Amino acid sequence: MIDFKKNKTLAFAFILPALLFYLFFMIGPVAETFAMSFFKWKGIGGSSSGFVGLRNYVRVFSDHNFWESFGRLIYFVVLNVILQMVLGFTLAYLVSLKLKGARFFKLVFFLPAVLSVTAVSLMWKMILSTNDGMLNMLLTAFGMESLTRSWLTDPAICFTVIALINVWLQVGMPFVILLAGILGIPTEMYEAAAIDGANGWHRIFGITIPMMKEIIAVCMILVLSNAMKVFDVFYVITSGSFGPGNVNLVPMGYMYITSFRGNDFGRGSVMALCVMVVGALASVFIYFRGFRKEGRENAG
Amino acid sequence: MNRYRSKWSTAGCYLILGVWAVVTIYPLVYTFLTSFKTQKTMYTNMFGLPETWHFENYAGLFTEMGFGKSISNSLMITVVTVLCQLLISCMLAFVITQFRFKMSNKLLGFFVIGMLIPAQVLMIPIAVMAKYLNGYNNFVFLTCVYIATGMPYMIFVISGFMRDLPRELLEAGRIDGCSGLQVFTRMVLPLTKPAIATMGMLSFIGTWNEMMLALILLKRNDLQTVSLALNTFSGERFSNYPGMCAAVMIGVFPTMLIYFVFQENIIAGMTAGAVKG
Repeated sequence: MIDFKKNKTLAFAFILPALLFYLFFMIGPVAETFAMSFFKWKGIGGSSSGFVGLRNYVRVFSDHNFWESFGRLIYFVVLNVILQMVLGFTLAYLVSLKLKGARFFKLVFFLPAVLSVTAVSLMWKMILSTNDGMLNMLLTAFGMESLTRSWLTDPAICFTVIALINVWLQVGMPFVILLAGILGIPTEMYEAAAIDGANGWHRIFGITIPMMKEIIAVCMILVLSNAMKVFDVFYVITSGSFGPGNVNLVPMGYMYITSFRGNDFGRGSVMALCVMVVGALASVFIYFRGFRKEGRENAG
Repeated sequence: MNRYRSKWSTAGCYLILGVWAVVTIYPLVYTFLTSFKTQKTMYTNMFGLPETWHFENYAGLFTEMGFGKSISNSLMITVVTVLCQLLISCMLAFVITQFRFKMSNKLLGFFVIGMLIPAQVLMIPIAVMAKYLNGYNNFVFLTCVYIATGMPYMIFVISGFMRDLPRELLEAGRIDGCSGLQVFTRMVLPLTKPAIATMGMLSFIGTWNEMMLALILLKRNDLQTVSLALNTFSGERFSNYPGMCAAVMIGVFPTMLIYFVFQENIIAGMTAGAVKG
């Protein structure tokens, strides 16, 4: 170890750049968001025009569009957490069996996680477009014309379709995390269970899942917090309109529209903070539930 | 474990794996193939290989859409961000892990908390700052924001790596008369190379793909990044599918290439936070 006191200049010179960037572009702005939520703002063109106390909060919380967008987000988050966890776990389990080609499957399943969300959203927008999209053409070619839909413009289904696209985009992360968890379970556990006559399902629900409670909790938090702040995929697919109507308006989209089209930074800040706080609370909840259960099992 | 499994269940496993592999890969393959077709042949020959490979779609992006400029903008911003981020993060991680002082863990914790801040919360204040600091249409400002937002995760992973470096070796270097700075440049940095390489690639992927902050800060067409240029497509009438396919391929190509070459490193780097923590 190097002595701090004898090398003060070097130490401070090495800490300072990171600290400045961090304070100036991250900590400062978060504090600023908080502060701005109490001011009346006129966006990019104008500037702050006075302290208004909690009025921005009142306006946001009495805005039914905001609550509707939040309700939509809850549906989106629940769908994504369930599907990503179930699909991620299933794929991870199958890859962990080390069948022939497992490496190839791992390579493929994680691929969407490194691709530009903008680019692949655009890709899905083309594939699912009503008249010339690949999916509808494929269905028609196989004589299933009755199944063709306006996937991205029919208000009844488009939100769910985009939620599914998001599953496609992000399932790679839970997949690799759960895979690492499954591979970390000692094989003796399975061998002992096999001697006791456990079959495949018993192995999964009796050993694999209970052994990885903690990693499942961490993974769920990751999926949840990524889903909470969804913006890009809706922005690109709806060309920035979050329509038809408001059906694809998620809170971060509403925040964007309020702040950058409506020039109201105060209300926008309230919305941004809301999403951050709810996401953090949900994460804490999952974290403690994940560990409490494990604690009980260890005790029992 | 193979001996516990019947033929049928193996077939079932392959069925599920195969279906999801097709769902993942086929849209990309379709987009790739369509990007070499013309607007006519994409309908007459939807699913096959292009009969003749047309490169006009790619050429059109450069001549008509100014994609060359977007690519060079994106590359410039990304490369500068990656290099600065790595340098600054390594310097901080070096002090945190190799200097003896009480606050070191607290300092690390203070930076790691930044991993919890979603970039969306920064959008509004960054826009306000940009107004006062001439940050609109300014690559330097955008790059600074990128450096800061990607830093916490990088510091977290690199500190973890530097902490595990062999103590004795570094002590020996000190005894041989290396100054603190020399320990950093001659010993710690070379030893940290694997982590630096991995985090550099991750940072490249993240910065290349970033769209939201660029959307707010870059308003001029000649300053667009690739993500923004792709975005302009999404607003247009759907007239030129093969051209859009070509644009999508340009958008995904750099990160896909890095991923295919350094697959294991990238997966390990991206999951380091979840698996260790």
